Amino acid sequence: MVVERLATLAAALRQAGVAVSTAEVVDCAMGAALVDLSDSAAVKSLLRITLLKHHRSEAVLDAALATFTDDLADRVAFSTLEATVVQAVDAHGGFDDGRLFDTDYHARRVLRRAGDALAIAAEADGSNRSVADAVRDEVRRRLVSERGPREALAEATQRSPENIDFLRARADEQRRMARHADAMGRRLAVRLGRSEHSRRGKLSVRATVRRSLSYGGVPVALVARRRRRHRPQLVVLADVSGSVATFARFNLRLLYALSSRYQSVDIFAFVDEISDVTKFFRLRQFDAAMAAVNGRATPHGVVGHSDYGHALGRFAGEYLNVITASTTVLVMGDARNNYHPTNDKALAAVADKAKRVVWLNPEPAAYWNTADSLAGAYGAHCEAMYECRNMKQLGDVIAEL
Amino acid sequence: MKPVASATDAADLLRTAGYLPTDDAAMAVYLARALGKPILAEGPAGTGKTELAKAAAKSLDAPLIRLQCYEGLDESRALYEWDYRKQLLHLQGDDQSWNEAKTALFSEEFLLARPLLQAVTADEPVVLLIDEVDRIEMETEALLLEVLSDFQVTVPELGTLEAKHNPLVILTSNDTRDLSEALRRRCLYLHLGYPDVEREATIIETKVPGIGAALAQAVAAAVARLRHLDLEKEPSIAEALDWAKALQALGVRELSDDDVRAGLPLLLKTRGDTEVATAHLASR
Repeated sequence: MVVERLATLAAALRQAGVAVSTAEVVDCAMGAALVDLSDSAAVKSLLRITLLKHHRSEAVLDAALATFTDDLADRVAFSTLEATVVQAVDAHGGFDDGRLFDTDYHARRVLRRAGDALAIAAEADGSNRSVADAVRDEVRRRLVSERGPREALAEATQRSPENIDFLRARADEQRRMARHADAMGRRLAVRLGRSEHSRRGKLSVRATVRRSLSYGGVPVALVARRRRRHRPQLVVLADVSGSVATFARFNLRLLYALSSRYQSVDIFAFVDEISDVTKFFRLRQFDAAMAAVNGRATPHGVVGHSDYGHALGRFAGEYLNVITASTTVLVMGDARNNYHPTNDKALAAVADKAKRVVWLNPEPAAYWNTADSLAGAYGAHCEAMYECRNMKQLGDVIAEL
Repeated sequence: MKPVASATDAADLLRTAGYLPTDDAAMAVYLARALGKPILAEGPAGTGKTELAKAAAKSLDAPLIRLQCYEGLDESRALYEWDYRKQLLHLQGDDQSWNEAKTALFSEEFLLARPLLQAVTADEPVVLLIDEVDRIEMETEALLLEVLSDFQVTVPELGTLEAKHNPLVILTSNDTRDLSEALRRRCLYLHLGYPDVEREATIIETKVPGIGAALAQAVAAAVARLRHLDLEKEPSIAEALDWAKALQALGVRELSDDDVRAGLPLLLKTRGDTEVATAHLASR
């Protein structure tokens, strides 16, 4: 009985992209014989420990469990809080809004409309379970029973931080994405550092002779010179206007984590005016870096609408001296110019002097060159323009630089 | 090694060693003993991963053998090494025939046991801590696999040495690199994150005796608030404990914003983070 259910759960997890091996299911089944299955917290611990194998897939397990625990234990004893939560979700869930499967949306709706009543119930209960969690669980249970487990798993996968679209990320998602970006940056830094390390250079005679002394002069182990790796200089031109601000912020975050890989990193932020915000970047103050340019924007253009042509022109005029023949220039933005003059000559001047120019565009490639997008005109002067809609794509591109 | 009868039992035992386990941690230790599987403990630095292994050794009354991982760790440091110098002396020492010498040369006498082999050949069950396993290269992970799945080490010249008693193996990782599936599959997984305010307050009270419940609570709450800011490196439990000890030494009874400001150098280790926290304190 337990084994059958475990197999179903494992299949659901696999479908959602969490690799669960048979060996792990066997471990879990053996563990199930050892724990009290009526204790739902213990069961959840067991599943986390034996099946999960990564903290990042915990949201998927939660979703899978919601489809699973309902029949595992029919909730018998209702506490005051639980009863109130069920009522509140009934009354204010708004499940006939015709929304996609979106747990957060419905949970927020319930909390907004019935938050006070729930807080009182929680007080009366004296339980230390958070009201928000209780509501989320109930909403998810409801959604699963109405729409089916497949959609629940799809939601969990889509809402994992690396797949969220930069241009549509909500504030609560941005927090999760920020943590993910930091962790991803650290992992990338380690991985990239390693691959350089493993490429060995020529034989070092001096070190080999020195090492041979401990073996009576026999060169048992050969020592290779460590190969000097080439560290590029990076110059970043980031569009920080409202529409793509999130994209720029995560980009800077990732580059910060990787900054030891570059000889130097200079950051220029622009909306219509452009300014050097490297000093904020060095202190990891991304918001300040972005505010600096917004605050300093002159009446030349409306604050908040990017003017690539003007910004590139100013950069080529004032800051061209920071670019050398070994500089990689990274432009981040959607290339939407609000119908201002293109001025792609300025970008051509930058490309002429730099080693390479790479453009990261947060829009889907299908939208490039539509309406006021100048992806083609600017892309012609770049080595490549990459679509970076989410953290995963961004990480892949940055790793190749 | 003491037996572990249930997850609750594991929690009680760990508590006797001054470690406050999460439910998951207690369950992991119990299952590790019951199923004979290693534990992979993962999470940010300073959340008690290494402490868990030390506490397990202490409370189960078993010796702790530790393998500290680093980039470039190899067989001869992790598993075993032939004692070249001793073999050389043996050859020079007496005038035995080559046939006698060559069989003697590769006997256990000349084998230097490194941590993994030590854990396998120990006469009593031990706790084996493989610390910061994410620091070794992907290829080196393979060295661990035989030990982790079968508790044995194969030395080509001697054959396979099997463990007399299954050790309790705890691997820790700061998640700076994705570990191989092969390694993860062989382990029970335990994620250790930052504790909530209640649990951290209890940890502080346990580790800094005499601090008092109110101050411990205030310290835990202040640290939790800092972790909520966008920091490059969040303060760890270890750093919170350092700060609590400092406050106690300074005779602080009630935590003020000035105390928090003065404690920042103990909690935050980069200039950017300090500025973010200072700005946050000023804005309150």
